[in-house]
Amino acid sequence: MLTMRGISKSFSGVQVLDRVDFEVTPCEVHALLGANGAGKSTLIKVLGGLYPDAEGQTLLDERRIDLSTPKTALLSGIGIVHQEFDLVPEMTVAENIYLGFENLHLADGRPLWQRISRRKLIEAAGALLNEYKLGIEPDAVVRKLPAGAQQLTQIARVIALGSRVMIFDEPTARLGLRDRERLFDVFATLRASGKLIVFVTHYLDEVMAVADRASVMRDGRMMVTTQTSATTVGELSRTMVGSDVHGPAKRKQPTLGATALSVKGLSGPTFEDVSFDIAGGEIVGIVGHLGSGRHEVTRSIIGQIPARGYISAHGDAGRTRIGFVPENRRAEGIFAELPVGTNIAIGFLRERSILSLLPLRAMETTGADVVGRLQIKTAGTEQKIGQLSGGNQQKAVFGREMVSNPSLYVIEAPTVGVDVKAAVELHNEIFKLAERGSAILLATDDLDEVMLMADRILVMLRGRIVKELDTRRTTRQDLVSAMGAG
Amino acid sequence: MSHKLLSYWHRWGIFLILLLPIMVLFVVNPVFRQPGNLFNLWQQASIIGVLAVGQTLVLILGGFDLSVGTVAALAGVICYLVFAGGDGGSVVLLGVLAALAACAIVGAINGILITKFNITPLIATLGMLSLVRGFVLIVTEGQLVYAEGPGYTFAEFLQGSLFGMPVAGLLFALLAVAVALLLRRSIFGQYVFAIGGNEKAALLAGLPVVKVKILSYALCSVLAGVGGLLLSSRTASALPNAGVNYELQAITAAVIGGAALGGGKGSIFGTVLGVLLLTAIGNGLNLYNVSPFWQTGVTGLILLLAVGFSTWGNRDARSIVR
Repeated sequence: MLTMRGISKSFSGVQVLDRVDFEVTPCEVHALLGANGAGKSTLIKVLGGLYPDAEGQTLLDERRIDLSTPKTALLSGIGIVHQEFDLVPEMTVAENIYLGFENLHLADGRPLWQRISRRKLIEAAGALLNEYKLGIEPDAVVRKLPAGAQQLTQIARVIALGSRVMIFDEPTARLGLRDRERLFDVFATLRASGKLIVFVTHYLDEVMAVADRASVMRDGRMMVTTQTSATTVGELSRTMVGSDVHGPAKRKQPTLGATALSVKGLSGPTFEDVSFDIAGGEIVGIVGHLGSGRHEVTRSIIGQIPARGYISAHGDAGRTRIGFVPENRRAEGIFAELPVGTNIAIGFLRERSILSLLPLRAMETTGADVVGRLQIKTAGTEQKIGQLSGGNQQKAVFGREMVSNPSLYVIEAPTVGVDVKAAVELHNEIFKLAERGSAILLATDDLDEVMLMADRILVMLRGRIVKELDTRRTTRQDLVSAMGAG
Repeated sequence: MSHKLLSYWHRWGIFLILLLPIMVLFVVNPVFRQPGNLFNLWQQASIIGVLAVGQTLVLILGGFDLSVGTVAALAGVICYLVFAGGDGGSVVLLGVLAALAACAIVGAINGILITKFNITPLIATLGMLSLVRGFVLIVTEGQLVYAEGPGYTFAEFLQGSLFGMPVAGLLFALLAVAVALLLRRSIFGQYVFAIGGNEKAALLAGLPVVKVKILSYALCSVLAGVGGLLLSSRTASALPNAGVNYELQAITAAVIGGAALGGGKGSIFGTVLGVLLLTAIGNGLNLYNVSPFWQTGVTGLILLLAVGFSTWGNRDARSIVR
């Protein structure tokens, strides 16, 4: 049993963990929940040996364990799959899984892992990947793998360590549906072998499906630990945000305008003969597993991936502008070192400027306007955007695109890594954009999201659109089976 | 130590450490604090200073330019070849323009190699360093080029004084203020910071990434050219092997001033401070007749110290971000 008692930690006088108690029992999948900034990641970093100055005690099987460095934490039996990738891109899956194991010694001086030949390394990795049915080749080079397979490689690494406690920090954020199922099968296998599993996630439906118990944090405190069978999604989300979550406004019957986007016979590296139209005021979802070509189709519409075929986006007054919200906010969306105001204004500088001078007043008023309208929580437009929570960063990225009032939005996974409250606010904002006549292409892995938001759903499988569903006459089950997973 | 104090130490500690020997020098050495020596110091600082200002621009952009030292030599040689080839006042204007235009072309080629051919800044500018040096040696046949008449007068003017201040120093100050304004008050400057901070996001947000990069490298080269003109004016002649190792000093000054090698960070104010401190230390070593061999070593040591200050303890800086 893992027991954390009275864990406290503060940064520059801000209390981020306040006397937190946390307990995980063997043969259990324990979900750790909380809005962004609730303290989940900090608690996990304490377990990972990154904050040796945190107060409180941590016991594993009634014995105190040494969490003073990442290495001692690892050797005490804590294995963590971090949210960020920490793989070597140019090495193979097998090499990544066992990287650095030769240098690890157990408490009694035995090496954890003997140096072995390259062939045996690949055999060992292959056996492991097979046993857990992860569907990855051990000799594949990590750089060439899609994001989901990279995430699974990271998970395999922690499995190979054989840690008693295994912590998964938002492992599903980057996984497609099939890989998600694979991960949950891994959970089941690990649980059966007596491991202690901690699962950090934003997705409450996943919690209800795979976790035995759930602990909810809020503002650095542990609010409640409960059996998942004895609670509901609504109750959990209420505890997370501290008040009732207002569901998004109901989607009104859309008033369709002229065709805003027309795609005909589009073919590219991983997709073929893709055709569809979107009218102004319409929200069209596009879904598909990893490797279905969905990501590439979206990126070729915004002009990032070259493709053959015909794309036309018709705007008002002959001018078209595509508003694009990328799925990977940190890597592709924000300028972390620049202020919130500049992040919002960066797209329109050229239009508003005289003699190439910065339009300071326009930047200030537009920034303040967007911050107010989208209720971005920030100390001011001068604060660096990198210091905001994920949800507020995402709102700013939305705001940047909204400033130019485009007739078409391409939005990828708008609420990944965003807390429940901000997600609802973002959904409402997307509804408003559609009501004002913009066409919206929504690419997401979150099926509840696409069922809630979209008027129509395009389903991709192996590079083609295999089905088009009307959301009003579709169930979640229909969608899942159309995607080929059911 | 609290985190706030620690981050101030990371940002400004290197200044304190470099300022300390200079303050001691100021107190104990009457020659050092003579107005004449301070005048010299400002004048000496202006050559590396102009180079470092340009270097700061490309560092913020997330690149760097190793070719600035040889580009400085190129500017001198072209300018003085024109001077030597004619007489009359217009030859001065012609020489300066030809030199700076050549530098702009070299810089633009750097930018094109980096953006269009995807060559890393290290290799692109290292290749250019050697290429330009070869070119300069070929056209001069390894010989010094010198000026008489109007060219000589121009050199004298650059090394002279205006209102009791060195002309070269005033030019350095003027260019530093101009580039600082460009970075902080123009769209171009915002784009430089944005591209250096997150190039992928800049591309997706529709910023003219390639154009900004090529322009920045061109500007960096033109500033290096100005440095070359100041350098050659000291002897009213251009040496084909002038400016060796100047890139090291320019990068060192910018890094002392807080420019990050990963891009997205840096300021002209910091770079100017860095240049002044670096020059003052060199000046001090000169006063005590320390050999130039030692001075090169000291510059390297200061570079390592400066980088160490910004990155050492970075784990603490990261851990503040939850």
